[in-house]
Amino acid sequence: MSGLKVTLRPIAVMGMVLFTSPMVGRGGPPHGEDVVVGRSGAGQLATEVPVPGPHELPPVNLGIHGWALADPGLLNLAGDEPGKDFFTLGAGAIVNLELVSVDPALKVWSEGFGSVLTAPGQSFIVGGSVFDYHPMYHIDSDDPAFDPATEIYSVMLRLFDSGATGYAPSEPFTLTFTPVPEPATGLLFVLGLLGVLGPRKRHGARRLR
Amino acid sequence: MTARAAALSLAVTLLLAADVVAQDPLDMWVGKSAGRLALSPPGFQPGSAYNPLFRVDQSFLHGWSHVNPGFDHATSSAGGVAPLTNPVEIRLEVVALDPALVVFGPAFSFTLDQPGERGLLGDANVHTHPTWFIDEEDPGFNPDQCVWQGTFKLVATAGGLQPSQPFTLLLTNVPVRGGEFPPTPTPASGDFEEDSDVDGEDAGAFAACIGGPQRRPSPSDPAITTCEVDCYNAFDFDDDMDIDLMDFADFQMEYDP
Repeated sequence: MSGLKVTLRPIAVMGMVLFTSPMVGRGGPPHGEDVVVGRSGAGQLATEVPVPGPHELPPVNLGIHGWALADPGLLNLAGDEPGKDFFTLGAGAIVNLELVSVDPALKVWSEGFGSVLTAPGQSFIVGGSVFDYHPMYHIDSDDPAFDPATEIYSVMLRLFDSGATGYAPSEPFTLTFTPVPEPATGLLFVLGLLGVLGPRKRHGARRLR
Repeated sequence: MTARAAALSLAVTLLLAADVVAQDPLDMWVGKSAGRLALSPPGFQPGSAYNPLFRVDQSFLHGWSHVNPGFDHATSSAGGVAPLTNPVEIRLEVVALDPALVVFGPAFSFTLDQPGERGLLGDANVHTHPTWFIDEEDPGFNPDQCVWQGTFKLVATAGGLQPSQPFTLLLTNVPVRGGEFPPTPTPASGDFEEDSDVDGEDAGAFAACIGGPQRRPSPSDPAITTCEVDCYNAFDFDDDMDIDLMDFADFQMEYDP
């Protein structure tokens, strides 16, 4: 019995940490995971993607269904970095996010849910020269194309400028997402609970005898 | 020694590789002051401007919504507010909400529509954008209303900090001067009628809007406007959320009967 405890307790802790960490993270990461947006010296929009993914999407079940998160965001570069040919955006820029390609059932919502990108060529404005924009990435379990066996969802995006600055469109960049809790993680959580509660119940039953 | 040099080199490399990013001045910056959670002055100060919401018509949402202002973390001390340190968990608690005003957590992680309800924002590195939503389908929705007030406080459920002082956001479903997306600073013009002049009719509107210093306008003439945002848009030359004699001085400069 004590051997079982020793074996299952760490699994329980690990399982619960894995299970709950996405919920703790719902408050959103600091700027470290946001896509930084600037331009090259030649006048082309440029991005730096610190964490391409896979980003974990927690469950959502209110109005929309499936898994969703409003991170990573899109954040303007705040200071020139000449060594990286990465410069701040000029006044007059109007930066748009355009969908290049997307896996079935993955959608990109604008802030406030006014627009949704589901097909190549669709776009919405994310800001001017200064912005901190958080689209919501949504794996739609109600979508007819939703496949519960899919573990990684991918979207390719690019930015274009519709403002007076006239920057050339950025190179496409890719973000990937995975729904959590995955079945395996949920199973680990259940096993962990059994590890914690199971031995206690049996211990209590022995006392009763 | 070699290991230290390597570590130093790595640190310098990482420092150089890090992008220069800034806190968004349109977000509220969360810190601490005298043992309480507090909003840092360089960030957005609730009540210092109207926060525009934009029309949304989706199968599950009908009304007006937007995600600004968000919440960011203070990164340096300012105005007596210092950055937070972990462990701390920050939650947004509703003190009071006008009818039909709802707050959704990021990706609907929570819904707040009653006093006392709370939603998790994050830890000492908080950076999140709730969705502020005026629900047109709510039975309490008043189509004649143009500013919805939400009063909140920040509470720490770990970390031992006292709640913040309550703060009130002014959310509106009508266009705000300079508040289109993306925001564009636009000064007041005095042209209430929006007919490219500032004449006697605009002066009549000014009279309906003026309410004195440190008081939000409360126009009540349906023939002119009953929406305080209209007054702000045309006549609040110094952007201090009131229409007073300071604004009248600027209005006189623009007046051309």
